[in-house]
Amino acid sequence: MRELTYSELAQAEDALQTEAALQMDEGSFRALYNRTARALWAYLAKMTGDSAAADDLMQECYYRFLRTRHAAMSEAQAKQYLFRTATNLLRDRWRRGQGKVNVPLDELEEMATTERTAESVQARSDLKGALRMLTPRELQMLWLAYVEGSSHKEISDVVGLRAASVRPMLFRARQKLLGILRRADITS
Amino acid sequence: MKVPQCEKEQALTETLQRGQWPEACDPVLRAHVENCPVCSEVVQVAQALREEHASLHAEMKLPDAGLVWWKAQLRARREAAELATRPIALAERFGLACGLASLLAFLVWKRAGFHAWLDRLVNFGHSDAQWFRSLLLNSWNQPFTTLFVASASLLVLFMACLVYAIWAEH
Repeated sequence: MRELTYSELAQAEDALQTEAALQMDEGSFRALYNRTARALWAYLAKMTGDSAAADDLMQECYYRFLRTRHAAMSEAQAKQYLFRTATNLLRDRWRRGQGKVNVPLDELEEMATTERTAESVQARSDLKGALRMLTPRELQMLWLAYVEGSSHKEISDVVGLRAASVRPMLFRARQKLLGILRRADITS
Repeated sequence: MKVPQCEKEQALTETLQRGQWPEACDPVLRAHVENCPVCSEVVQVAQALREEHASLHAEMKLPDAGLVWWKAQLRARREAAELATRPIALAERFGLACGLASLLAFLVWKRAGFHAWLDRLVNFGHSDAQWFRSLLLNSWNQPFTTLFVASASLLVLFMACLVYAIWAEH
């Protein structure tokens, strides 16, 4: 591509002033980041099992947040937005087959259930192994409920389910994890 | 499927979330958990997950907020620049298409002359080659001044091109 002329550069610069503006000043961003980044990174790292991928996805989450007009958002809503974005990015990642086998998410979840429960629990008698035996959605819901302390309404918003479906799904996920932990003799 | 519920579940989750379980929590709640199957399950699952969360925190190396901000700003500027120069790129493509169309139209218009030129090129025969060869050989037999003038002219032309290139660069 050829070099831009001065007038074209000036035109592009004008557009940059309006288009490239992030919707927050750096000081406010730092404050929000310091309050939300640890939780968001832990969520992403647990779901991907890869700290480098968690770094990349977290950058993407904050970028999308900064490009959104969120002046009216409270901090809780901002956190909710970040977790929802993270969950969508994770879903896209799984659908593209990154970090997991390249199959649709529903099939993936089904495979995870059947294959993993067929494996020896004894061989995975650590907590990490037990958590790997859950489907991505089960782990997301349990994490949001018991690590982040999210309400059922918040979980439904983040995961993209009807609020009424969260309670039974969360119950089943809890029962499943407990069963795995008990078989592996991990519960205290 | 009927999902068993407990009215104290929310309070228990909040207590766990605040890190007050079991020592710093309400003794009544602790006594309740011992007898409530729903709440005891919540405690077991939450403790396992929070243990995993703690292990993640131990290995956590968060990127600096300034770096995240800087990367976001850089990307926003790059995307805006791409957006702003899109019409220019489109105009360039349009110009190229117009140029090609004009060339094609010119060739169609001057088809007869073009055919003649092509014929001459295809039938570039022995006599043409002889003429070109003699031209080259004769150039060596020219007086020194002719060669000097030709070389100087080429040098001046080259310098002019160079000066223009430098000027255009700046």
